[in-house]
Amino acid sequence: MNTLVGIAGIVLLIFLLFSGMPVGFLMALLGFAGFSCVISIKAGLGIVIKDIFGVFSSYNLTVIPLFILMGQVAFHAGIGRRLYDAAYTLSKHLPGGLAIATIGACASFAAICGSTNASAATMTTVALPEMKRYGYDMKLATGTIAAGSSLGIMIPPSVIFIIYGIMTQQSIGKLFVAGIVPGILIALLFIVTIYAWVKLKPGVAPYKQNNSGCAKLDVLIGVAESIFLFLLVMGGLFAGFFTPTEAGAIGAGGAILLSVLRKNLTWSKFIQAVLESTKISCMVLVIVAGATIFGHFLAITRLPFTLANWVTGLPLPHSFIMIIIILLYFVLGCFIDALALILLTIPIFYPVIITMGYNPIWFGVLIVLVTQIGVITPPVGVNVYVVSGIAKGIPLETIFKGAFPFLLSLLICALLLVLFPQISLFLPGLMK
Amino acid sequence: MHGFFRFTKGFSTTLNAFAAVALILMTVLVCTDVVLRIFGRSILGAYEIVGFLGAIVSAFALPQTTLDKKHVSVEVLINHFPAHFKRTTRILADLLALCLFGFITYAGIAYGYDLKVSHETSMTLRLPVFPVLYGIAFSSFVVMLVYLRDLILLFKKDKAKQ
Repeated sequence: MNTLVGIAGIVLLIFLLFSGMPVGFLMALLGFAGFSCVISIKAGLGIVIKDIFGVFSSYNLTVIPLFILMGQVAFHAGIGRRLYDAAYTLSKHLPGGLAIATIGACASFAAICGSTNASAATMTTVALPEMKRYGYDMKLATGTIAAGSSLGIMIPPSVIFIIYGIMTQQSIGKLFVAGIVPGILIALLFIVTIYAWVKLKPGVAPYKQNNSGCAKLDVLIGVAESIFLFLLVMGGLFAGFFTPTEAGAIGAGGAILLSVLRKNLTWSKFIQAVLESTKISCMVLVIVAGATIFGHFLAITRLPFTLANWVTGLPLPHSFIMIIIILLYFVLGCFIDALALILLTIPIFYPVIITMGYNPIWFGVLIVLVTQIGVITPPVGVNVYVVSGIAKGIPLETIFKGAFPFLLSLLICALLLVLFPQISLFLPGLMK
Repeated sequence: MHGFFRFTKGFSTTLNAFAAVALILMTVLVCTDVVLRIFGRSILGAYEIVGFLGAIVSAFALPQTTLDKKHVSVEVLINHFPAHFKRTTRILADLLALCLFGFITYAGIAYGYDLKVSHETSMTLRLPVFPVLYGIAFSSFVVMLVYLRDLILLFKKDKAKQ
């Protein structure tokens, strides 16, 4: 009977999800209603407030606002522009050099920011005018920015990894480190895509001798603080010197200090960065709280465990079930925001994955990669909308078409991860 | 009515400012604790203060985040429906959210009161926990006002159209 209530809850959730009600509120409401239905209204009220209090005051979850603050400070202090200049100085001699520089800048910005939206906004502002000036095809230019900005999901510090780690009780440090090699691999595959695109159609990126870039040494000095910050945060985590929350605080504090010392952060920009951080953090933690309430409701119905036992008892190879789950994530990722998707589905699928004996760190990286695809695919490719919002006059269709060749790179990376799990497991294996 | 709108917006902005201060304090506190650790010292109860500050950040930013429509929602399907269907769905969704925050406000006050009478405190610093619950309840109440404001605006817009 309780299992049926659980199924009804999931069906209602999927149905009401498309009503436009905030995902976190909806999960909290249905979790409360379900809990009240199975036990009592008093128990439902109790679980709602205890879960909200538990999530909001959780020391482990304070890592989220701290890393978001670090990213917002980097965004408002213009670190993205300096990273772009540095990447361009190194890649300007290559065909499609400006587009390759954009990928390089996106990858390095992701290493200190972690927000795909902030990355897309920064790179559209910084890189698009340059690519326009040099006569780049808008499909290539905007597609590169939309796809490159998605790297923030994979390259640490990634909020999605934090959420996955907390929900599945996996080490956030290990998940961060597990994302480094796949993140670099995706960036390299993106560069190969650009190179091949330009070689096949040279007209999309006209090559002009350009000496406007600064001297190599100058630009590298300009990004030294970003490299230092990344090494400090990730190095501290890797060596076991910091907890993730401490790493987030050191990252945020370090970003503020370095930006102030370089005179890149005015008081008004700082206030803007902090106020924006509180809202983004709230948005993330509301979904976490909603998912926790909904997860507790599902747990009392025992639906996830029943489902796990049923699925693993099917006369099908585990690899086949895994492929079905990945395909499901791929399809849902086209419609649902990456964060919401992870929070909605992990309580249901994680027990299945563990029962089948798959490595949870590897699964986390794979699922994050699949949700990364969702930010550049229609109809809800968030990055495409951000690029379109800033680059006025470029149709959405052009950007979606431009991002399409990069999907192939992401799919190749997903395949490589499935065939060679060590790509994601090698570095975490070295951790203390 | 104008006064109610200004009151709701003002409260949301003020609470978000408190959340921002809490976030800065959290950063400073954790950084100081890490630096002190290098010298073999640490801040007593830093762990629980950070937790409380985290609760202030999330709870007090909630009205402003709701007011600015920053929450994640799936609008891909609803945007393709006729205007009257979209409007009805939005009213229903807002009413559901209003009910949810009514429940949270009530549960926050009730749970906070329970913790107050049972003298529940944090482990190390013995700080009372109930003010955090009252803070969450108050913030939820302001979110209710934000939803009420949105509903009034929705009806006013319809009236203006007629």
